[in-house]
Amino acid sequence: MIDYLLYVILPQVLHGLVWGTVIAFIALGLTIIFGLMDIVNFAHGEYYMVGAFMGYTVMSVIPNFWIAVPVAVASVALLGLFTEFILFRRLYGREPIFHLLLTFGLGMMFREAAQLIWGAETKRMDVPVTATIEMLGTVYPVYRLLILGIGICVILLIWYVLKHTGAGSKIRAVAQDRTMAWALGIKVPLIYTSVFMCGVALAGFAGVLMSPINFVYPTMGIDVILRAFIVVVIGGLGNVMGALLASLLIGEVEALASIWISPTIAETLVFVILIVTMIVRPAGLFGKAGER
Amino acid sequence: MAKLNSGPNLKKTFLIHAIILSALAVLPFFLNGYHQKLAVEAIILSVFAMSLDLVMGYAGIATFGHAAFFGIGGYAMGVMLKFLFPSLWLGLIMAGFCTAILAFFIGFVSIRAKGIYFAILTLAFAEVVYRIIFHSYNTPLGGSDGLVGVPTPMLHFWLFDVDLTKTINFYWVAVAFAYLSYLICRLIVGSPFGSILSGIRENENRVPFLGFNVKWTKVTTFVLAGIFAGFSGAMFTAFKTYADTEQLSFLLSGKVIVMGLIGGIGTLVGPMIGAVVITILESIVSTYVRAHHLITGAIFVIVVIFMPKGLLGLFARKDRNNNGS
Repeated sequence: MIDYLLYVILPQVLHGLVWGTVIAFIALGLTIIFGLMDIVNFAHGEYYMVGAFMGYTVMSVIPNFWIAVPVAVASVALLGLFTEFILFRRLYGREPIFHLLLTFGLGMMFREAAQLIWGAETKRMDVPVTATIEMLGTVYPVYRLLILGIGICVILLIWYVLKHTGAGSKIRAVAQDRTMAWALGIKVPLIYTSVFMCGVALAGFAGVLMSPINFVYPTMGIDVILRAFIVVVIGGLGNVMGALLASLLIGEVEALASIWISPTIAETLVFVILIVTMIVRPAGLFGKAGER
Repeated sequence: MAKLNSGPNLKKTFLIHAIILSALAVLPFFLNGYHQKLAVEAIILSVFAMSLDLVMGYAGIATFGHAAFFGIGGYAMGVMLKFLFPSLWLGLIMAGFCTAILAFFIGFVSIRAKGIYFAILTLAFAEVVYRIIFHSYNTPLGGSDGLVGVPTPMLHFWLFDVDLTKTINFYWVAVAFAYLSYLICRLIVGSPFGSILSGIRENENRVPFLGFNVKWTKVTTFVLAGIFAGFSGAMFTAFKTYADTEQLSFLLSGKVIVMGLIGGIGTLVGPMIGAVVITILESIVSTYVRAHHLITGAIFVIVVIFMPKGLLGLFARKDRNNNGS
């Protein structure tokens, strides 16, 4: 029994935490962008994919993971700046369904472009930290714990920026009432652009961090975006804390369920959780009552 | 908008319909084999796009999982033709039956959510359907390989036997199918029921005060749209002689919305034209460019940015209150 807990359950719980953190990276960007500018970014997973591919490219030139990470994140942020400036800016104030469609088309373009540039075959990066650690008799790779640690730091940083800095209070002001914020002299377009950049950069960061664990391929964004969507809806669209908790929930459910049932069915289980949530609480598990 | 039974205009409408139908009837004589096939596909897809218009254009509900009905209709037809009895009629009945049940279930559950939540919920449902079929390796459905080797159906029409293996015959059947579907949908939106639908689109909160049930009207529309999508998916499978998971994917759900947008939703004819335009464009682009999704995606982006007029008024107001921010 104890053995079962230690050797089967514990690694899966940790896997679930790591996976949940990665989903949280993507879901946080998604939900903050939605909460602020009403954009449902269906192409968010593609920024994750671009992050992974940029990391891969840098690694094939300079085989140093710690150079690859910042370069990948920066290039995804640049891509975000570019797309926001050229495309999204034209759609502000329109209904979310338009953004869903715009980003749907954009995602198609990104996937196809990635396939043209890097090819359709899956790629794999070497794990930068190969060491393992023994915890209560279970051997666990340090790199995954590192992701978990980085994830916690980044999430704390986001929380700190949003709640305890001047920029954060400006962002919250714009999210609450953009017209009033504008009237008070806050540069709303600047806030939009920078938040969008940070949101997609977060996705790119997740992509490059996960690339040594998962494979890198042009459609990798789709697998992750659907989960992120689910997480964001379960947590309540625009709700940061909700997205965070829902990410961990989904990560754990998926990891633990795949002990007993096949991983593909565990994946479907995630959708079932979403459907049940929407029936019971249409505004999301952590959405406030009447907030829909 | 030409209503079918609008007195003095009836003659004019009749004339227009007759001209369009005869033009469509002689069209295949000017096309080569490949283009005839493309025309059949475009016409079948136009019914799919029109079915979406019932929900999106008339009831004003954005749904992002419409491909589920198209795909399930296709699989229902495939199963009927391959394993039960190769008759087009029975296949269509089966497809209508299966999609009606599925649409009722999805619609009934999702209708509580509004605006963008409804769109995401239908997307999730469609993904569940997709995944279940995608992973059904050891069943007759064939998993990710799709249901292949579907025989071309027999079609007994009155006293005639139509040989559907000939593309040109299938073309005429498809035109008849599309025209009939259009007439039925036109009747639906022109009926008192259709007026309730437009009422829901314009102001959902007032409809209950007029004594109509919003929820059931929406669910009924969703089911009707699902059935027509299922019919069109069934015709698609009967024509292509296979059903695969691509017909279920969210990419198709997105594509059909863009088809509707291009043509202009809330008109029934618009989405049909949009479907034809997109199908032809995709075929042209994929002939000359290897990365045709790049161009298709760009077309979508351009459409959404520059041609949203039809949608703009429809989703205004309502979603404002529903996006939970």
